[in-house]
Amino acid sequence: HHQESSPAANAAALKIQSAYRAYLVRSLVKKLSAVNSEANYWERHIQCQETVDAVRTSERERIKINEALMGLLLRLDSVPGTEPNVRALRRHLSRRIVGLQEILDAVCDTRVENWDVFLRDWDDVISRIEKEACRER
Amino acid sequence: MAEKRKREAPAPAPAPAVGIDLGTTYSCVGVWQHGRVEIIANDQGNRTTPSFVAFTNTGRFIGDAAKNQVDMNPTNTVFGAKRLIGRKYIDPSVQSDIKHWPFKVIPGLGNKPMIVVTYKGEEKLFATEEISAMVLAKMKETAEAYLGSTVKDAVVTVPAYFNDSQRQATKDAGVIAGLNVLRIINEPTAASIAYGLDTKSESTGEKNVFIFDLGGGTFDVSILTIEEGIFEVKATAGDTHLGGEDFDNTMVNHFVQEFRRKNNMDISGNPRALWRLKTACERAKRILSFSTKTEIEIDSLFQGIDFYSTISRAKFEELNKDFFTKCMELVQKCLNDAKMDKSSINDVVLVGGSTRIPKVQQLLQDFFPGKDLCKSINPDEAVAYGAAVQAAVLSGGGQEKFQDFVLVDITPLSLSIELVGEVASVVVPKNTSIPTKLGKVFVTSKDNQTVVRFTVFEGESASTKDNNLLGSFNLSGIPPAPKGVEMFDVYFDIDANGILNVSAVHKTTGQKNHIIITNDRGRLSKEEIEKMVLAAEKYKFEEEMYKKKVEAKNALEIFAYRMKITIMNEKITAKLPPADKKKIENAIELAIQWLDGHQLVEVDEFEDQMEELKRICKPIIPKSYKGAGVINDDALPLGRSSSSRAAPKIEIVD
Repeated sequence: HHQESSPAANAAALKIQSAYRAYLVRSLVKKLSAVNSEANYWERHIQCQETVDAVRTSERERIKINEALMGLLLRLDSVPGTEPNVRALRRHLSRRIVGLQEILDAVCDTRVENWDVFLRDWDDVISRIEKEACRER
Repeated sequence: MAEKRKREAPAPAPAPAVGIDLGTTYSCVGVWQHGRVEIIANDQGNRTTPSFVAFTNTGRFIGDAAKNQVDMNPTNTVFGAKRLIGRKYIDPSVQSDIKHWPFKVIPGLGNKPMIVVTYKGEEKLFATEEISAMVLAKMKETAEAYLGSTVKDAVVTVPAYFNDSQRQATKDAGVIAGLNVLRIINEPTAASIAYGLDTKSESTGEKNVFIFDLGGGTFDVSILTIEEGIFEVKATAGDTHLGGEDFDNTMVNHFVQEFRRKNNMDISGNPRALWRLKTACERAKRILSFSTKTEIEIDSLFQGIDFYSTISRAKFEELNKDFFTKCMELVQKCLNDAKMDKSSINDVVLVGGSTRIPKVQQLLQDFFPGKDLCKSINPDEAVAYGAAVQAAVLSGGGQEKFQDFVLVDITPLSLSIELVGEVASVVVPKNTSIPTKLGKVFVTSKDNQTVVRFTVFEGESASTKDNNLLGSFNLSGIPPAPKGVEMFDVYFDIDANGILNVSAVHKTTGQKNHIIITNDRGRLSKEEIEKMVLAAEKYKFEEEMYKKKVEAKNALEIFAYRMKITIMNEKITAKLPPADKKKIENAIELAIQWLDGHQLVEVDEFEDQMEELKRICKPIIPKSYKGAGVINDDALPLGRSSSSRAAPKIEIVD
């Protein structure tokens, strides 16, 4: 006969659920760490003087990096943050990539319409990013 | 004669004909194989491909790659070519569409809309047919990659309301893409075929099908009557600018307002924030089709502020209430136009991704009580599915399954000759099944008339001034006679693709003339098509050259970095004289610097560099792959995803 909540059944359910949750978290973290390593690549790339020169002179180069960073953000946005640690990690990464975007904008001195609010205080943005970077170190 | 023919050995099976749904926002390709339809996924693994073409300084992208970069390169990313094809620049619908597009459209020869883009640093003009051809070529390649052989024949679908010129232009696009378009069929017809509604034997004989097609950007409803395999379009209605994207946009607006309320900031001027929000909304919309609630989580959306919110299915439905109401109004309008009561509809077919929305299904179910909705085939693929079935039927292929399968398409509009006083005299009534050849006798309208002008119109009005002019031609050399004496046989010959040939013969002298409805309506000439075919091949060739350059560059890069790692390995360099080691190091460093400075030069320049580097590095190239040509990836830890593909190029060391 059917027995409700026998200890063995409970233990089994717990085991299955925790294994599944762990699997879920692992797969999300895997996604995030892939984004992270790509962000590392782009960060190094943006720091090169050659890249700075390239984005200043060639719109194509700027578009390329912009597109790559946006792609990373969209990938982050697709990760659900039901698990607090996953969300914290995602949040951290998002901030980092937005920071890279802002550096890139500052470097290119892009004057896109309606972005003047942002451009007016890009010095603040840079100093904020720098501060944040220092804090991390 | 036929019985004398020798029985030939069976030829190697050619690639089967494919069915292509050339959509406004997305396209899809299918093929009949092993007794069923296979919808073919593209190189990105997606079963539908965005109908987008992007032009950049480095090359051309089609499909997913083009759509992914649209926000970064909007002026050179072309989409919605279907809204232009076969229309004139001055067409009001073209005028209103181009206002909303980031890319430039200008009037060309014969008032054809031409698309202006910057491609490889040069300004280029493309006809709409060429853009559609690029999308078709991408679908062709997708099918070829799957089938492993060249695809020639295809059935391409168009909306039921497309006129002759739009159909012809679509066919031309097929030719430019290197396809033999077996037939152009109507999208609702294809969807009905997909569900086999034409073959299901029911005692009634005649059957009315309602097709509800709510896609990404357009909404079409049509009523078809199917009788003995003959499809007749009874009525069509719709909205050319209503679809999934509108639902996304209302959601985006909703969240922009929410952000404003919560943070007192307006993000509507920030393209990046809007892009992220739009992507998240599109995902939320999909989730809401099977879940009643979902979350939106975007970190650092605007000025460092995180945006977290939820949306319920009920809220989504409320936001888009007006759109849904409009859909149902158009459903009723279509029935009114067809002079039918909804009770006479036998089947309701759902097409288009947005028909997954539960509210849409519920509204339709309530409207057609007791009718089963045909929704078992993926609504994004139903049209391509039907086109693939039709392609298999037309290409024969000995499919026994299809022996009793006939498909007849119809003329969407009446075709007429203009009489004196702008009166339209109908020769081919609307909804005549095609191919067809119909004739009528006309007489002269004036005394001693020696030249007669035949002007052809399409449309339902009794007065030609409200109809659409297709073209005209003269017949001269008529002997003078009182009016009404000289008689002419006029024939309208429409082939299976809906291409119209009007001919007139003078009864007594046998003088004749004819017109194929082509150039008068901005159709491409044969020469123009040939030119475009060559251009299409050129672009493809350039793309291949680009790929080769990238490969050559990668090979050199990988080799240089491998050597850099090898030279640092003391086990290998131990026996090397220091001078040689220095020389090799310099050569590697030079090659790496050269690579940085030369993004994409000619293939042989990369190859020359490679040869030079190989020559210098010869002493340190491991013996293991000098002889055997096998590269051990463990020994050379700079393996990247592309390295395995580039590896064969490094094999030839000497």
